[in-house]
Amino acid sequence: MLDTLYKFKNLKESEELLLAYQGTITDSLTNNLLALAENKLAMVEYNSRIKKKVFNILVEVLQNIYHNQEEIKDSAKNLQEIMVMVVKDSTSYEVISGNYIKQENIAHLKKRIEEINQFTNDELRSRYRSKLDEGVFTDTGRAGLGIMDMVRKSGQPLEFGFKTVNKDYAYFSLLVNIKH
Amino acid sequence: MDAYYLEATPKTPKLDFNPDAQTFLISGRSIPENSIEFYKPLLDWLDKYVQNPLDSTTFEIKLEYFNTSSSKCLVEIFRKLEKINADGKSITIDWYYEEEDEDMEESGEDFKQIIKVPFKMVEIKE
Repeated sequence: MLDTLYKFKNLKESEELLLAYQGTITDSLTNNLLALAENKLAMVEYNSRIKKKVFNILVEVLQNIYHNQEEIKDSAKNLQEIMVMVVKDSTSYEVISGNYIKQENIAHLKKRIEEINQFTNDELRSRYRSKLDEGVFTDTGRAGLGIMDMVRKSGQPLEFGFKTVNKDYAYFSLLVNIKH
Repeated sequence: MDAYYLEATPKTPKLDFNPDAQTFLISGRSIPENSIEFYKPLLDWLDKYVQNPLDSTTFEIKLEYFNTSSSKCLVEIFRKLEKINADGKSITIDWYYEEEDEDMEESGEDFKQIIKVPFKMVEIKE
């Protein structure tokens, strides 16, 4: 099962690791991370279509976590630490993230990702459109389109994993693979 | 009616809604964490504009990137413009995308399906 922290241990000396961040996440930090990612991508990828795709997916992954942090904002400091990486190997890019979530939210998130992972392209398109058509946001201002967008843009199912920390929390790992 | 103008930032687009110029424009990037907060003033402005719109309005969208949260706000914006169309005045949305940028093309097609306003796909050749 995917574990972002373990993956980082194996990758940290590797040239394939374009960017890694571990720590708490704020608005201004997201800006800096995105700027850094953009510079890095500009150095290693000449195909602007792929560059945009990777950047776009990174935005969704980061903002997904950013909004998620709301639910654990009263938790211990170490549980607010997130991890995000961008990796490039010979065949693809990977946007990998890790963040703590409440145990009670695992079932819903797992079901949602598994469901979206199984959609055909046509199903994904029509689900996405009807969600967009609803035009409403959740109470927290989320569009509910992030995961669908990641699968749609990457053209591949998401890899994920949950690792129990204690009875209340788990570590959620997510990987989006983008072929180049 | 006064124009509505906002300069672009690294995370938010330029908004140029000038009735005197007869052209509305959104360009750049739209990736704010809180897109409702960003687009609310524009939505309020549009509420007033649609009460007494020009005979003909062209709305150009030239976005480089946008996040899913912005896409919901774009739907809101387009919905407001449906009123102009329903009142018998002319409104056209021009969705610009770069040649071979399938993601942007597909996004345009998504909106085109949903919105009841003439929606034109405009490919920018490299």
